[in-house]
Amino acid sequence: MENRDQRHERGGEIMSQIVIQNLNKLYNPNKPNAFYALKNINLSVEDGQIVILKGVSGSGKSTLLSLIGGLSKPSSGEILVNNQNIAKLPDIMSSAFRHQKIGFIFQSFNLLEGLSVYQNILAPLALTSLSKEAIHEKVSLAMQLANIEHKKDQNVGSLSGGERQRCAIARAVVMEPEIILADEPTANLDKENSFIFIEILKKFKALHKTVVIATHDTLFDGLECIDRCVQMRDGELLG
Amino acid sequence: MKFLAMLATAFCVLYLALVVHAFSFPTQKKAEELTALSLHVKDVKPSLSFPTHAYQRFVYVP
Amino acid sequence: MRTKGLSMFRKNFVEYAILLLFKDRNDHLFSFLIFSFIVFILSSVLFISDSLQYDLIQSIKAQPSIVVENTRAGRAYQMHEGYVYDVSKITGVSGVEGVVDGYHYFAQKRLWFHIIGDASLAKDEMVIGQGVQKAMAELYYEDEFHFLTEERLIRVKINKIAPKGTNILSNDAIFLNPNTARAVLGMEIDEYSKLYVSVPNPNEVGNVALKIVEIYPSAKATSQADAIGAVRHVYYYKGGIFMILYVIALVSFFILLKNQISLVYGEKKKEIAILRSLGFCIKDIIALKFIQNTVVSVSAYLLGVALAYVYVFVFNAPYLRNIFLGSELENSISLTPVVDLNLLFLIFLFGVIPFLAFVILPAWKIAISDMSEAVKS
Repeated sequence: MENRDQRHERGGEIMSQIVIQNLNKLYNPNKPNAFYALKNINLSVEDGQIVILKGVSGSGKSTLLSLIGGLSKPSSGEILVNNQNIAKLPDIMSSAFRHQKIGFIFQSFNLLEGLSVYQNILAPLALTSLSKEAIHEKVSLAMQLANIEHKKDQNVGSLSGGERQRCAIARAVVMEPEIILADEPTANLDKENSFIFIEILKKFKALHKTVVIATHDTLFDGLECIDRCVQMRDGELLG
Repeated sequence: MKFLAMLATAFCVLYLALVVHAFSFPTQKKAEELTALSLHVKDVKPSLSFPTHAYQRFVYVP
Repeated sequence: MRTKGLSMFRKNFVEYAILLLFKDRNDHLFSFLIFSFIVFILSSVLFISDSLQYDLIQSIKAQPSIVVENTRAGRAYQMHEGYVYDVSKITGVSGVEGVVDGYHYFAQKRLWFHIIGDASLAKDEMVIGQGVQKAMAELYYEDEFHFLTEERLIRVKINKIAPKGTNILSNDAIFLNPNTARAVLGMEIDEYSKLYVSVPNPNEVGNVALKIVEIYPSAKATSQADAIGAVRHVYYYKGGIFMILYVIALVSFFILLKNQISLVYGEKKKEIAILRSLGFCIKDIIALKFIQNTVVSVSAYLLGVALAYVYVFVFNAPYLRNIFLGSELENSISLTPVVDLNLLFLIFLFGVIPFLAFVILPAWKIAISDMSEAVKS
């Protein structure tokens, strides 16, 4: 997996990878129960940074992650990723962007039940034209990074919480995305597995991945690998 | 793809067997026997054995 | 290279679609079985009716121009020599042949045998159908048979069994010399059950039939065209067994469609959201569902048709053929393989297309909705 130094050698600039300008998200518009999940968000995340979005439940963290990942569209504003406004992309391009550039890690892991670890990690590669050997290599690398290779043929239904998380991480990185978005990644993990996640986060740092984590877990406070911490409340950024 | 290939092969073999059966059926011989019989029984009716007419009307034009 | 890349993409995608299909194999298996059953039932009935009709059509080649039958009080009644004379005098008639035809009640087995006079048989010759032979053999009538009439007992030797291939016509038939047949049926020597009238000019047939009915108002004159038409439309598709069949197929189909819809909602809604979050676009989701359900529906269809073929043409449709032929007399008919590709294609069209639509439409509806809530739940 390519890191920052390798990108330097290529002649690539280090600049803001994610730029969010005047972002608003209004749910149930024109209805009595309309509300703003996000209000006038302005945020930029540099290439290779690990940023924490902190806030209580309902502060808009998950909504912001969804918008950055192109899972939903904003009501107004811009989201520029690598200078491309993803808010206005049609579905095919938005999906291609998500496929190649974004790796999602969800709170509830969102694995495909009934499939094995290997088969779950394989999912994004179904949209590629890689050969069987190349696919196998990519999946193996992803499993190694997440330290889940020893469970590759096991059905995800029989995995522990920590193992399911690591399977989800492997799936998120198998396409070698530039950006990882993690929504409450440690909410369903015990302390031990949470520390394992922190170790994996350090690997992301070494690989110069841009990571945005939405969390209210105090475990992330004061970690060396975290570049910035942004507070959110009621859909707005504080400070 | 292996599954699809196996499925396709299985159906090809099955339908080949059905085609072989269809062609090996003595259709011509049966047609000749029926024609020969109908020369004696010119006004043919199908050989039905329903207990009553009501049952027969269930299937056939009254 | 681009073509190779494209085909590799398709291959990877199709393989993953099949993987997901096996993941939910129980649900898909249910759909598969129901659909196969529907196709099996419809195809079996189609095969049987087409096969029987094909055989009947083989046998109408020697159909007379006009068949005259007499009635009294609404029931079939015999005709005497005078009828032959009167009809033969009608302009346009080239010949009249009187035949003996009727039913004899075999009381011991409570069966009716169809007695047919065949002038090519000698007085003591008898040819019987296979069904008749089996019924007689059960009561040990193997070499000869005793006809019990009001007046006397008539003994006739069983000379020959009609070939199996003619069972559609001969299964319940006993072919006798006309005079022997008269004796069995209690008819006089100059009496006939039917008259076969030959009219060389087909345009005259209608007129001749009218004239016959004018002379004998209680007689029924059936033209060749009517008789052939009756064979071609022998099945009453609007009523009875076919209606029951349609209802069974329809009810099964609705159960199937309900299952198909539920295959998309519920847990599967989450699955679609997960795939969307991994980069599957709406087109990909629809393609996925299309591939999975095409595999299920097409293979269910092919299996249904193949099983129907084997059931009807290899095993001669046990139980179902009794609906078409009656079960009082065992009919070991061998059904001629007749396959109406047009109708099979119609079954495919009206089966597979709704099957696919009832999955793809809900999947599309879910795929276009906001995924952010679905992935959080």
